[in-house]
Amino acid sequence: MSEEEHSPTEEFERRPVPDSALKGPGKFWGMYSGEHAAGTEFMIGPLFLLSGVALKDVFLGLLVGNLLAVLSWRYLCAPIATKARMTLYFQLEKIAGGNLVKLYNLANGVLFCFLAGAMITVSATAVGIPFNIEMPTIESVYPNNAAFVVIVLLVGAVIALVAAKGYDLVARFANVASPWMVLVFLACGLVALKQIGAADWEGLNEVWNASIATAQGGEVKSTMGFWSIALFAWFCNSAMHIGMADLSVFRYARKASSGWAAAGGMYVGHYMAWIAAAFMLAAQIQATGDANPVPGPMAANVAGLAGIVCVVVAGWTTANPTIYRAGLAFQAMIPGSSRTAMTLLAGAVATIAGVFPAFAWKLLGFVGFYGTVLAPMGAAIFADRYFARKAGLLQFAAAEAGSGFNWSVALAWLIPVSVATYFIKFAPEDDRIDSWFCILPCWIATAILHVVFSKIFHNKTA
Amino acid sequence: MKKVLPIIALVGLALTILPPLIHLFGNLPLKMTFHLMTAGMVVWFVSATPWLGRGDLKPTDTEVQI
Repeated sequence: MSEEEHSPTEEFERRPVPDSALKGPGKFWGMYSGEHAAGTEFMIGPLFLLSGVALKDVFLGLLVGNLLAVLSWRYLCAPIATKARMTLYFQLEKIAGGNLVKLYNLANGVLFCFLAGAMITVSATAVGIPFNIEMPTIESVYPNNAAFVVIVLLVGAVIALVAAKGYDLVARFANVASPWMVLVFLACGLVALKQIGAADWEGLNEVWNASIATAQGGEVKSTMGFWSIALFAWFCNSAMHIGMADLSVFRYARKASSGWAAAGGMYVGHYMAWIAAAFMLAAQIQATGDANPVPGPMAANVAGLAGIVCVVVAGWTTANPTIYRAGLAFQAMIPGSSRTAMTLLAGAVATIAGVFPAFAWKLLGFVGFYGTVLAPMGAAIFADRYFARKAGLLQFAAAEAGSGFNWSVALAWLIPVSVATYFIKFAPEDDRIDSWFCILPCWIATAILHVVFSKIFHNKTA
Repeated sequence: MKKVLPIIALVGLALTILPPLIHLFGNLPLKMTFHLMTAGMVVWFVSATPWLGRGDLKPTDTEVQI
């Protein structure tokens, strides 16, 4: 088969995408606009409110942060994707070696399990409504009743079994559901606004501040400000843009300008949907004084049955590819293992995580940590592309040397990530840093260290 | 049928978003808003599934979303 010939279903995992398979910008706008209205959005917006963020900081921080995310896709990810036309994994394998890619994949898989766990929790809060079960509260680290555990186990089992059968069916269902879900998010925000009853910005601000005061038991303490919101919005998808996971998407783009399509996802999913979800919680607090950001009841309150179904579908269609991807990562780690068994293992880990509502309540910190661990690998690809030759180093060093594990990349990745992990998770309470502040320093450090270590080690062109 | 399905599906989307808009800016009661949204959901999934559910999968379809 020539470079240009390919079957309609070929995914070009081990060769550059040929010209005949390239797509115009319209396809990417369609993809991104629907792909970022997911189960996570039901949690993230309300968690901003509970963090005591000023309303104007939410609006402005998300405006700036999402713009920076779009620029990252457009000017960092898409240009490399359209020049190399290779997946993240294939490109990383050439730079870092197959065994280091497996390690990266394992980290990815483990983190995906916990993300999927949070989404199983989200779906379970909606599935539990007809059974009138007691929902976990924001203070709940552990499940607070047996009925909720049973619902989570059932939801997790169904999601894991469907994922084990392959992604095809759910991916098709997600494609059907996404335009409707986007509108349900918008509808939730509109009805919540009516319930809030504010006539102007001042009134809205007043209700917002009163909701924070109620949620925080009278005192208003903000743990996030403008820069926290902007950096969180910029980096919550950092594994995809500066982390280069979306090389796999944009390698199909005719031009790098298709990277602007990410704006569709950001300003629909990470602006409108987050704000709508935050208003849902504000409306709930105003009506009942209940500050628990439990997605099922919140959505039922503003959208009825459509809201409940939307929460189930959003959680399910987010958890499903996450478990599927985690299963593939585990399969790559264990030679000879079956994909079905590994997907079920990933599903079991995710379901157990889903039993603990704390993973959903801590979603902001978790998403930042996910970016801190995974995004710096994109810096190795970026440095290899733009700095390797200028520094007199070999491009695609592992492939050139026939090495399965490039220590230059491994150390450049693991040193900054280890330091960041200490400050995020293990430092004394007063010295801890929110995870979204660590992503950019880690990314820059990895790019620099990759070049420095490559110079020190052996892969010079001369 | 191929030409009719997208039109019916768009009616489903309209039933999903117009009632909340009328509820916000007009006087549509909340319960009626919920009923119309539920009808919109059913209409959307029944008509959009054969329309959108058969196409080729896209590169983003197995991507993990946040």
